[in-house]
Amino acid sequence: MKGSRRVVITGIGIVSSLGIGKDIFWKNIINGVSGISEVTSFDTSAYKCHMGGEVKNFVPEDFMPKRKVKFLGKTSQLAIAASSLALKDANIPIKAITSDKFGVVIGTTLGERSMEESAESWAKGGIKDLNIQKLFQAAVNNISSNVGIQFKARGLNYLIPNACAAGNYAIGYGYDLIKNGDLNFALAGGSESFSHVAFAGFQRLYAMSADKCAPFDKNRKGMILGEGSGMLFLESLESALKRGAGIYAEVLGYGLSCDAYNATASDVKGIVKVMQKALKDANVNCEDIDYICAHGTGTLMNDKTEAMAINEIFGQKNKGVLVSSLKSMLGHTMGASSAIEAAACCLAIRDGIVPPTINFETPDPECDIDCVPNKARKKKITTVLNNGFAFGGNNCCVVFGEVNSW
Amino acid sequence: MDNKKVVITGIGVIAPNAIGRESFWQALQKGTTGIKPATLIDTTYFKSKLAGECADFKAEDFLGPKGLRNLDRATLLVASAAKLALDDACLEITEENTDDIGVVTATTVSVAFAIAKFTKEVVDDGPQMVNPALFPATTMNYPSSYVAIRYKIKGFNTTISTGHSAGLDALKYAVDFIKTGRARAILVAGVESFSFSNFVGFYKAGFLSGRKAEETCSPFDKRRNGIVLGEGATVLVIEDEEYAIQRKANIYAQVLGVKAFFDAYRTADYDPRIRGLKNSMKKVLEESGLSEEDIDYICSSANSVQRQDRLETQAIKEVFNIYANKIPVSSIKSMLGESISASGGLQLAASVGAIKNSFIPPTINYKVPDPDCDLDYVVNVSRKAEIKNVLVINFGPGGNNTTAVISKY
Amino acid sequence: MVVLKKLDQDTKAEIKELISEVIEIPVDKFTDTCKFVEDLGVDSMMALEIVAAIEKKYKIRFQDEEIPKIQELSNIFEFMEQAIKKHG
Repeated sequence: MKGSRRVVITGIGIVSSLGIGKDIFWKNIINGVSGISEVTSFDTSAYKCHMGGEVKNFVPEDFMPKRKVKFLGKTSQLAIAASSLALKDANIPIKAITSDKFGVVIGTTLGERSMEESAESWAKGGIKDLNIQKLFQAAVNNISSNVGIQFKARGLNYLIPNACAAGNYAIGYGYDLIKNGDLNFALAGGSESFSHVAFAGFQRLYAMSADKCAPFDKNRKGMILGEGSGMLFLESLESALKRGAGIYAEVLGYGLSCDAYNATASDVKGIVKVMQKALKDANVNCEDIDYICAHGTGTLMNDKTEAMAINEIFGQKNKGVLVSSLKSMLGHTMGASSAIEAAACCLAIRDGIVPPTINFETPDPECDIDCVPNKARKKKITTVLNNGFAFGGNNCCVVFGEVNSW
Repeated sequence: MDNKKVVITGIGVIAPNAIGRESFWQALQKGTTGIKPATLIDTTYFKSKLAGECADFKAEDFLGPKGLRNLDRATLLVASAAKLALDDACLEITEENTDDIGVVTATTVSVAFAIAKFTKEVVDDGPQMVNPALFPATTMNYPSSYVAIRYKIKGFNTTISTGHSAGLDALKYAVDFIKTGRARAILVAGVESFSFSNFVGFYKAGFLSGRKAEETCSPFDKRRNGIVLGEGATVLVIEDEEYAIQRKANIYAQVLGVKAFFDAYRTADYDPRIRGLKNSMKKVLEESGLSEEDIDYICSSANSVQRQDRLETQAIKEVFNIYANKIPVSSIKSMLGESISASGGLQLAASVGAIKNSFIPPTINYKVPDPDCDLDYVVNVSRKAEIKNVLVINFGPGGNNTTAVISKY
Repeated sequence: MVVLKKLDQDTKAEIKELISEVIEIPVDKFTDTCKFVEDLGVDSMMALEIVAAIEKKYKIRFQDEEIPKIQELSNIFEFMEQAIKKHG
């Protein structure tokens, strides 16, 4: 039995390859701007691909004290920045909420770059080259801990490394915790810094495109790696109304499933199940969904499977449902992806605009959906399904709704 | 909120001092140590030599001879523990029930080895030549996903990596899911594997015992000077009580409550005010509908670190007041070492054993009392006792504090 | 690591041995024309591992388009012959 509280989003913080701050991010998203550029985080000369969605002009000191910066891994820095933006956006001073009812739940895939960097130092120079500061930064739970410390959030502090869907897992659990009264406020989302391990790994799986990400396009060549952080500030509807907060959207519910099939490939049955479970949990029908923010990685396999699953559920009663993939613009920001995409869902509801899938040239008969090619579309959006499908068949979808409608 | 009861119906343990639930409980009762000179790595150039290794563990015994060659040790350990747990719970996963069953796994530091292995190949052979089969294990959710793939468990799959408290954090996640009906049965797993990567990382960061004083794993003892790293895997099958009764499962114990709080102080450090730990203990008693005097045993997280053991003692005193030195407290880490995210599960398994077999596991290796740690630690020898309610503590440097209450069913 | 000049019987046997290790099936239990997926239970990851191991050992590169066409051992030999011819 779920608690009766309703959970809403009152703050959004984004650090992305399309800008730092939700306004610039959203402006670029609806204008179909690409955040993909030549990778600068490390030397890509040994790779076929040299492109990525890196965050540009990120100045950590803008969001945290200068003396702290050198002690923080990059993924923590991005998460702190996005959280700071979310709190500011929610117009809520930390002093007002610092308590054991203010918690943090963050998702990621590869965690802190410090762990990879330590591994690299070791591989190249041996133990003597290990940097102690990096060792201290390396443990993945530093990410959520650092956010909790920065904002004095003394409630539950969880790090959920559920790979490419981690952001949705974090937002979903944050929703559960406010609903059941464990928390009154939560910073929930995901964070990922540009990972050398992921870059090498995905290209070794032949999953990476050399130049661009073209989800649902017939000639799509794969994903492009990205980085960033998306953090949502969640609170109860009652609390938001009482303090006169601006409300973006409501978390109506979420669903989870596990393919239990393969470490890297998805299974259409598992994808169908997770979307159905999300709709059921949110108590909405497929006809109610105006927009599906797709996982849409741009790989042959994912997009085909996802389109098939969407048609299986929506094909009869809601064939025209709009589907688009932000990964076409941001690349795959891994643990941050479903969180950044969740933020976009909220903004789509607020503005009645559906982001496009860019780089779309040739329709694929196996991806028989309206993927909002290249140009954003104006449409009243009241309910959105946000898809996240991770390695290991770890799937999580969240449903967001306009508050007035529900 | 709901009054769904959450019960434990199956336990699988792979520990440094025993394999299998029954053997584990017996080893704890005997005070058998799993801490020995490390064999999985070469400690020649290090002052620390000890580890709590699952040295007798052979994955083939549980998982068969094929399909294991690319699996990292953490995955092998947890998949094996899962088999033991499913057998122990007599829980068969079928097409009919699989969507109601999920897996949540606590693991944090084991991934370092997989990342090191992958990176070494990239550095040595170049990114075009690295073995792609090494990539999946670099994501922390791999062990949990493999358990699902192997046993076809489809309800959900989540990994929680909150370090020292992850074991009980995974339990809280699972209990919440049972109470909200997201699942009816859940495998709550915890695993860490011992590797050169972790050993060197903790050694260089100054956490291991033996660098500056005699190497020992002696919680609450004055001589304590750091952790001895351990490894292990547990899987607990927890269920909605109705579901367990329906399928006529054997019920070991009930989970009355789990509470998690964060100190928001400093990473890798202890908040001297121990607010989160005290808060967690008080609130979990409240959630469990118990008073301080109802606790019969405190399964401590003391791990032979000066401040950890002292602060935990202090927190117990402040929360339990006049009952503090009447309630036995012991640390099974004295026998197992500090296995970070695997500790919580091992402590839960031990606590169920305490309830079922009416004994309190000892804190072994105890020789020199510390005036700052003066509670009843059941030193060196286990004790017979009727145990109804156990408070399990997960506490460590970094600010995560999670406690649980397990109760006789 | 061997730079391959020709695909003789010994090398073919070596390659079969390498594959046998990855798929954990003894060499005498499969032929050049057994289908990897249907007959030998090879999944996508194993297939990539096989390709990677051969590329590493013989310093040869399979083309991206060839990878999905590898259905059986004889395909591997084919593509390797082509690669050797190409680079003379």
